[in-house]
Amino acid sequence: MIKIPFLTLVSSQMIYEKAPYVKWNIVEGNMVLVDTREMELLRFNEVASAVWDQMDGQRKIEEIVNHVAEQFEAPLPQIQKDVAAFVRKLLERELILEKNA
Amino acid sequence: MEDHDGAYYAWKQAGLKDKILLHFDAHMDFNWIAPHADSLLQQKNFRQILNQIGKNPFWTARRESNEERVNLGNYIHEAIQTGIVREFIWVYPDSPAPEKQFQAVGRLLRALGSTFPDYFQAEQNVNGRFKGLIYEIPFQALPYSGISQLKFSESVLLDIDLDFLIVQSLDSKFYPFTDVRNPGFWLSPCEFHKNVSSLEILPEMVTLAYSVEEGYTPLTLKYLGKELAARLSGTFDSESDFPDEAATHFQFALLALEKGNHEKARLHYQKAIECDPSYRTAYNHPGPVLAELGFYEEADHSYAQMQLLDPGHPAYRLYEIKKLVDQKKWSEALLQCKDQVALGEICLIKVKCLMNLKRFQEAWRELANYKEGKDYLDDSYFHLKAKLAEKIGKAEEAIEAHYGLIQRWMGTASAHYSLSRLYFFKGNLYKAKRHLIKGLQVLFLAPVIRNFRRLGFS
Repeated sequence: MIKIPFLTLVSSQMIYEKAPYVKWNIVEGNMVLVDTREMELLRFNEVASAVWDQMDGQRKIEEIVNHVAEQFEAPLPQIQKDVAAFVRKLLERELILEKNA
Repeated sequence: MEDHDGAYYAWKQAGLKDKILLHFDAHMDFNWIAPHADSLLQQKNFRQILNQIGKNPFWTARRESNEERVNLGNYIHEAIQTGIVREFIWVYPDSPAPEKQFQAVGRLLRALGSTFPDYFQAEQNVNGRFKGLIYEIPFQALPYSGISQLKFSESVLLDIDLDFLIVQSLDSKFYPFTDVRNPGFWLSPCEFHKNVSSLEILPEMVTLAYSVEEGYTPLTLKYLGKELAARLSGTFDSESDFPDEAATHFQFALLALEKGNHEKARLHYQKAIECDPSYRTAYNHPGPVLAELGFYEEADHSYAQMQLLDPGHPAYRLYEIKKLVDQKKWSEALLQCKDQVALGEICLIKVKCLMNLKRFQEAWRELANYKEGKDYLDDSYFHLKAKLAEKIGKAEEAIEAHYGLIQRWMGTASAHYSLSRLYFFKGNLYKAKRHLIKGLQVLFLAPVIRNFRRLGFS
């Protein structure tokens, strides 16, 4: 069966971890990632960097959203929407993996 | 030293930097090593990261450091990357058919350059002399007959592989080996030493590799290295240095074998390995090379002869198994593998046999016993793993194996197409599209870019 990733819902209870082939570091205040499988370099903005930083295989998406909302003093619905969209992109690029319970 | 990558460690230990490397070898010993992504991320700013990226085409997340991935085929890459070498001159052997030799060198350089044209360019000038850049440092390749043109105003690293005197033709069907059926040398240590001395080179350090164990020097000619070392160090004494004891006994053993005196042969062989245990090597006879080249009759003879000397050597059993695999006698080969120790090569042979017998689940379980680490076997491992994982519907493992191939410079168009197909069925259209495009790029764009570059466009 073919799954369509665009319809994948990012649940607030999900936990994700960084993929083992991704290397990252903070450079000039922004998170810079190297996807060593695809030989791709990515640079995140401040909000994306904060989300990535929290993606530690322990925290639920809900907790990450709350943390980011606090840090950037932005309306919660907006942060929820942005984080969900960002997580979908990370999943699509396989930069994060769903943490098995 | 035995293996040529020992030269890199010797230069490093001596703290050498910014040196000209004069490399006499039938092989270039330069292959790409992907640096660690960690080093990329240690840069202070994004601009420096981009600069670093411009210096290397590939990055890896493998656990081993760059240095741990150094081997006798790529140590010059590491010497360049760590700043030991700032100019690389490769002197290759003279051949009786010089034009064919130049073409062979050209093919070799083009193959290296075509992988990463931005980091390696070399054009032929005249008489087999190629000039270019590797990672922006000057590079040249020239035949031995052209070395009188070389002028140095400073000391150099003189780096010699003994096989330079032995493997003459880079165009031969035996290359990278010599004609193992009748090995000899085209240049004597005496002539070589005389010619190199006349160059008025001031060597900062001289490194000489015998390259028997994992290289291309036949063991029967190892004694040449002893002589060359003695000549280069100025201690050569024809009475005592030529040939050394292990080599003498080994030659006597071979002579006794030819005469059918097996007992005497074994006695000399035992004495040879007592003097130097490296004389008990899988490559102490041309059997493996002949088999690899498909001369089975001659390989059989060579194996039979050497088995008389050393009946317990594991290489013979492996040879028998490989022959069965070549003849597609899968069940028989599998049976022969049964009581073999868990060598990496045996493990992969078992997997291949089981796959051909359509026992995929068993093959998968057997593959789990393989331990990565031997470069020449790992390529086969990833190929088998990708193929097998697809057969038994393990999409994630197949994806991982295809990425493994790409990371090992084996990223062919077919690896990208397989990834595209696997991602499509997984529902990841982003990755499916990405790998479809990459596959097309590898297949069509790379040759076009190469041809444009050759025509002088940039």
